[in-house]
Amino acid sequence: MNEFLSALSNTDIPFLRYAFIAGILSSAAFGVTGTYIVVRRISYLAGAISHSVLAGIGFAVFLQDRYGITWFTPLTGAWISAILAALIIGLVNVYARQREDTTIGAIWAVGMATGLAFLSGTSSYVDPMSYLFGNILLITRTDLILISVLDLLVVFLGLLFYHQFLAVSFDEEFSRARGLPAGFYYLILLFLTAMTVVLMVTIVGIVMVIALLTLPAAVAGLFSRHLWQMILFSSLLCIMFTSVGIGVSYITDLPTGATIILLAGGVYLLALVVKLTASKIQFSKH
Amino acid sequence: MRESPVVSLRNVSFKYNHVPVLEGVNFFVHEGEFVTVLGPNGGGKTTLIKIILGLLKPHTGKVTVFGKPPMYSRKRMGYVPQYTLFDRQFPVTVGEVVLTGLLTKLGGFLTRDEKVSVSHVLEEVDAGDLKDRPFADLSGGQRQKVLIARALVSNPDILLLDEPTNSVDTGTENKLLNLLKELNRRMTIFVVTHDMGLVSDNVKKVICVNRVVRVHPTSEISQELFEGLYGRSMQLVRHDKV
Repeated sequence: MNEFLSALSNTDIPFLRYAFIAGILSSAAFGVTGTYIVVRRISYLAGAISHSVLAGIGFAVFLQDRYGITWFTPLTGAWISAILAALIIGLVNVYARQREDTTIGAIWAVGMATGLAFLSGTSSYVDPMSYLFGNILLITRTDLILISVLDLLVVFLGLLFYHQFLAVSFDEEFSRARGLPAGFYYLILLFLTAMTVVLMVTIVGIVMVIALLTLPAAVAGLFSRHLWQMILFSSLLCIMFTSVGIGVSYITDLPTGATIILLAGGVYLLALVVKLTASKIQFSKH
Repeated sequence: MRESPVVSLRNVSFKYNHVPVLEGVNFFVHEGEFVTVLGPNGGGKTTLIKIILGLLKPHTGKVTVFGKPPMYSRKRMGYVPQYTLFDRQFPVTVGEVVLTGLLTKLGGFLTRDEKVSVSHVLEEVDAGDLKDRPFADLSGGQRQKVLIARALVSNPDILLLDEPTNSVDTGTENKLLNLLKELNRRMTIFVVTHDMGLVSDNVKKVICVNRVVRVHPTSEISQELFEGLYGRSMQLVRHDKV
C-alpha cells in the first residue's frame, strides 16, 4: 500500500498519477450516465457506442503514422466516432424504430472493423490490445484536460435534465402524452453515453468500459430508494473501483483495466448475494 | 344547443403495419360525461386512447380535443396508462412519480408550490400516507391510485384511463370506481376496459370497440350486444350495490 502511495507521488512515473486522477475525475460522469443507462435498460447501446470508438482511434493512429498529424489524438478520434455512433443509433430509434437491434449490431462490428483496418494500415504495427483492453501508459497530460471538460459537461447536462430523465425512463409514454420531447432526451442520453465512454476508454479499454458504466449503477440500484441516490452511490463506487483497481494492479502487476473490472464484477456479485439473503430473511419473518 | 364536444373523432381509421385496427370511427365525448369504452383485448381500445392523446396519428379522419388537435390540448388531458409495464427495480418514491405529472418542457427545477400540490393530490386519492414509499412496493390498487394522482396533479379537464382495474381485486375495483365517480363531478372521465364491472349505472355512455365502434346509452347494454362485440356468448355479471 505504502509502495503504491509513494509511487503516486513519484515524478518519474507520471502515468500512474494521471490514471489515478482520470479515474477520480470521470467517476461523477460514470455515476450520472451509468445510472440513466441502467434504469433505461440500454446498456447494449452503450456497448455499441464504446466498441465503435475503435474506428476513431484507428483513424487517429493512422493519421499520425502516415501524415504526422499529431493534433488529432486517439482520444479525439474516439470522441468523434462515439458521437457519430450515438447520433446514428438515436436517429434510427427516433425515425425508423424497426430492427434497432440489427443497426446496433452493425455499428458495433463495423466500428471495430474500421478501426482494425486503419491500425493494420500503419507502418509500425500498433497493437490493438492497448485500445481494446486499456493501457494506462497512454494517458497524457492533455488527455486529463479533455477528460475534465467532458466530465463537467456530462455532469451538468445529467443534473440539469434530472427530472426529465426520471420521467422519461420511468414511463416514456406518459411523458410523451404530457408533451415532453422524449426523443430529444433519448438523444441527449446517447450523447452523454458517448462522452462518458471516451473518458475511461484509455484506462479500461473499449471492451470493458461498458462494465464500468453499468456495474457501479447496478450495485447502487440494489440499495437505492431514489434515482439521485443511485447516481451518488454509483459515482462513489466508481471512484472506489478505479482507485483501488489501479492500486492493486500496480502492486500485483496485473493489467489495470482487468483489475478494475474484476473488482467491480466481484462487488456486484457480492451485492446480489447480500440483497438476496436480506430479502429472504425479510420474507421468512412475515 | 350543447357546448362543443370535449373529444371528437370523425371518420378515424388506424392501421398497424397495414392491418386495420380501427375503421371509420365516429364519436363525441361531451363535457362532464363518464364514458366507458368496452372491447376485447386487441380490439383497438388502447389505440383509441393513444389517438386521443395525440401519441398516435390516425391514417384518416380528424381528431379534436377541446376543439384543437390533440397536441395542443395535452395540458388539459390527464392520462393513466396500464400499469403492468413498470420496472419493479426503478428507484423512485410515490411522491417523485406524482411529481413527473407536472413536468412540461425541457430542463429545469420544480417549485415549492408544485411539491405541495403533490401532497394534496395524494390526499385526494386517499394515498397521502404513501408519499415516501418506494413505488415498487405498492399493491396493484395502490399503484393505480398513485397513477391517477400523477394524472390529476396537473389539474386536467378530462381524465383518460387505460384498463384501470386490471389485476385489482373486486373491493379495490369498487373503491376506484367510486373515486372516478367523485372526480366526474368536476371533470370528464374516459375509461377504456374489457371489464364489465366498470359499466355501472353512473356511466353515461358506453362505446364498444372491436375495430369498428358502436356507441350506446347504458340502458341498451344487453347480452346480444356483447355477443356481437366479442363474437361469442358472454356471461353478464351484474355489480349491484350491496
